[in-house]
Amino acid sequence: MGTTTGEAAPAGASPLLTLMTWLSPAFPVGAFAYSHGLEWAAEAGDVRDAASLEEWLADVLAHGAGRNDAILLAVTHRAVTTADGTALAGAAELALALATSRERLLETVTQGNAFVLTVRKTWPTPALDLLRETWAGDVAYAVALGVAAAGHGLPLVQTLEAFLAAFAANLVSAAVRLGVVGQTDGQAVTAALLPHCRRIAAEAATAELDDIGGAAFRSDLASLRHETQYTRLFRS
Amino acid sequence: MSANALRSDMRPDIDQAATAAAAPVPNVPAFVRARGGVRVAFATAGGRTHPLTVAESGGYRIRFPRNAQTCEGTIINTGGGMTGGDLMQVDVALAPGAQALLTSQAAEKLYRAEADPTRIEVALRLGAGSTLAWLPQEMILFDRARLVRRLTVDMAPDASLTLAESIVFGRTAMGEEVVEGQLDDRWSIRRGGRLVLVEAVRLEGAVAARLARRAVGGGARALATIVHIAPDAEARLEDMRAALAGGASECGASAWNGLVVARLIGSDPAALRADLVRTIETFRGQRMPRYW
Repeated sequence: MGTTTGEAAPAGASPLLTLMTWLSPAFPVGAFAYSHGLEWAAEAGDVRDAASLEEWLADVLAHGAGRNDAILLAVTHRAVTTADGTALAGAAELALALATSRERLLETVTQGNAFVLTVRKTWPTPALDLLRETWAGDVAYAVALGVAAAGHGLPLVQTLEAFLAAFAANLVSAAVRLGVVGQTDGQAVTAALLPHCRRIAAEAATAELDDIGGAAFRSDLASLRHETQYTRLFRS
Repeated sequence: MSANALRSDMRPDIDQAATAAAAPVPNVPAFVRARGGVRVAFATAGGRTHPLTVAESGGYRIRFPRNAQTCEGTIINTGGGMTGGDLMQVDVALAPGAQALLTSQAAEKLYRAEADPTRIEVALRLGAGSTLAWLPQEMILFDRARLVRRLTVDMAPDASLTLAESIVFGRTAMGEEVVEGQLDDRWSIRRGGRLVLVEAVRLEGAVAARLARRAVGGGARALATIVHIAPDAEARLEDMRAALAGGASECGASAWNGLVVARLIGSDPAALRADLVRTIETFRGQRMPRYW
């Protein structure tokens, strides 16, 4: 395969095809099982139609996990590209400490660990060895993706855009399954969120760990309330 | 020296402006900008905890009421508030086995900042087997306030920490909102050297409009967070949930990584304060300090 740091995508695949594959709902990280607290927001009536869903998710992207995870991914990507193990370990540690609840931690580490496991077997890259050498703990999803993308030379901004779009689309899919919106309205919400994804990706690409921070207080609260929600489809 | 006597000698212009209803807060020239804080180290002697060393600077004082059953320190800002360019630093260290509670005499008022933000730096260090309750009263952000706060905790694996912080947006009794402002607040908590929790709040620009949005504040005017870290912390999740129950504020709790976190959000700061007091008293099994 000859996949070394800096090489442009796995042999025979373009960056676009690689990102589409890794961020497809078919990639075995189990993204479908997580609603990021949206299930409680729907129960509480905060999210009840296309307009309220779009507003809620736009804020989760811009002021919640979307932007923060994008910055973590960017810092990780740069750390791998410059072979800076200390910076990589710092981002990996911070990514776990930033979890705002037990279910948010579960959401990011089950996907992150599963992603690392699959990519190690199917798209091996020395970048994953660097991660293993510098960080022994669970791996947050954004960090896992940042390591793999940098290891395969995938461009940062496109990786960030694809990551944020997949995050948004996964939550819209959750809303569809919760009966908040139908399929067509769901796609309209996803389409409306894509410009936000691009804007946040552009900002995150040059951001540092000190730029991390959010204000999605009621989204975080929804994640707490979800833990004691009586009937649940989702693990977060 | 009483707290009131201390208050009279520091920056009376600001103190009066803050208490005079509807009076605009004057711009404060750079030369009166305040830097100060308190540094205190607690240690045990004769089976009790005592403040071993105390250092006060600027307009800040710390007092230890004699009638308190435990070692209880009250931090006093004799300036009556903070504005842009002000810096407050609090440094607390507990020797192994020490037990202390720290609070503040009054809510901290954050006035409008013209250029530089107001800066607060808090460092808490907890030695082996020590116990700290960090329970300051709320911070009130005036319109156009800009606050950068850094709170760092470095605690031994078997130390216990109960920490509660709350923020009110605007002088709500006067109908004020934080139309514009900045809140950049980061807590970094290490336990046995391991980073176990980072709370990173970043809210800037059109604060009131942002807080009106459902995923942000849903019209919130006050926020509070309680963090409890102790060897048995995760086992106390149901205690925390029970303590939260019955209030007017939106709230929830979770436990992971050896810690319990509770969050409260409310549109009525007075109701949220009452919920916070009741929750902390129930959870700790002790009354709040006198100034609360």
